[in-house]
Amino acid sequence: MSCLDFEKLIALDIEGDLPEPKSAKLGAHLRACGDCREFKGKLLVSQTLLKSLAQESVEEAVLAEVRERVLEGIVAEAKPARFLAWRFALAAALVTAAIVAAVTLWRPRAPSHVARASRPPSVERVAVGTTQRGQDARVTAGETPALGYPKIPTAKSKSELRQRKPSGSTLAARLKPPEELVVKLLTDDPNVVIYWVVD
Amino acid sequence: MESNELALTMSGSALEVEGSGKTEEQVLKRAIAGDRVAFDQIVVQHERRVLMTAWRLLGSKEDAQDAAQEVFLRLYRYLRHFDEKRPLLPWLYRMTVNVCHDQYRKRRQDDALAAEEVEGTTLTYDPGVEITRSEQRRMIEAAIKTLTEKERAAVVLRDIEGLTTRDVAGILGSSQTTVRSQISMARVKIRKFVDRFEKRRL
Repeated sequence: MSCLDFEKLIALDIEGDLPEPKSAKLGAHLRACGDCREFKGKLLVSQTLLKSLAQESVEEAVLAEVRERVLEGIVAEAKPARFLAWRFALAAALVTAAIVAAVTLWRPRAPSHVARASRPPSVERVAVGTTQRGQDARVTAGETPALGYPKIPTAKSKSELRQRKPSGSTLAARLKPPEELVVKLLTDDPNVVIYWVVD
Repeated sequence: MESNELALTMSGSALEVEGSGKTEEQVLKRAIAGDRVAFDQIVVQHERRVLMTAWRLLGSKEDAQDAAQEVFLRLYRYLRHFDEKRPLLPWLYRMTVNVCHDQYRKRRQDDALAAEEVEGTTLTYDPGVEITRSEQRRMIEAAIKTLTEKERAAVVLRDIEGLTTRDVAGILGSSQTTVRSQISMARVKIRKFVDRFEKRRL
């Protein structure tokens, strides 16, 4: 080891930071090396100067300024926190109001099969009478209730219909327009079908 | 393990907080609970130590005041998460070193310039006249400025604040071997700076 290496050990040894085995080795070198002994002496002086900085006092005004700035910092941090809390409260109130409004105004959408039935009412002519006599009145052109519409009630009972004799059996008579006209009016509501029977 | 050792050697919990009649642990507990008076007592108790450590690390009173302010503000923000059973002092030292490190990085270029000035214009002296105590202090302060940031932190905590090598290692988050190496280098550099200074006086 060179004296430069021993200088580093001396720097540790003077404050008791050097482990024992190395300390013993250093001691042996110091006994033989005048330059390193001199360096150790100088190092002790600079260490004393360095440690003397711990005794320095600081003016009370400097400390008071720090205290004041800490206080100002705490107050300054508290203000935005309160402002943010106020803004969050306002935002929460607005969101709540929006939810309440949405729930109030919301109408449940009809199921898909009902939606399909929600078309403008259609009107059908149902021929009842001479040509269709004796048959169920719901047998009409294009009648195919989409989704289980209730059976069409007859506008008049069958017995009533039977009482009506055909005016004649001639072709001309059969070609006459039916005497009774049943108009089926489909509404948006599949449960509601309006029949209009016209004599 | 190091943190436990740190707690044993640096625990100030049994110390009475100046003028309060209460131990530091009691005051810390109240401060954690939101007592501003207790927090103020903690600031008063430690402000000198924090300020002086920052002053040595940064080399300027104004920067040290900024750093001390930031350390106590961080303490205030962190307080609710603080374990009252843990000693406060190591945390304050660690925070001081961290805050000074942040400031040091911001001013790195200025510091490089200051280091060049240290051995020249900033140290005035009268050749042949015995060095005064004030000059000695300025000389050592200038010598500290020539150290690297890590060497400076290690030597300030070990030699000026008087902590053990183990405590310094705990605060800096380094091994004791690393800290010993930094301290050794720093002491040798300071000695050689003083040598150069004294030679210029002759």
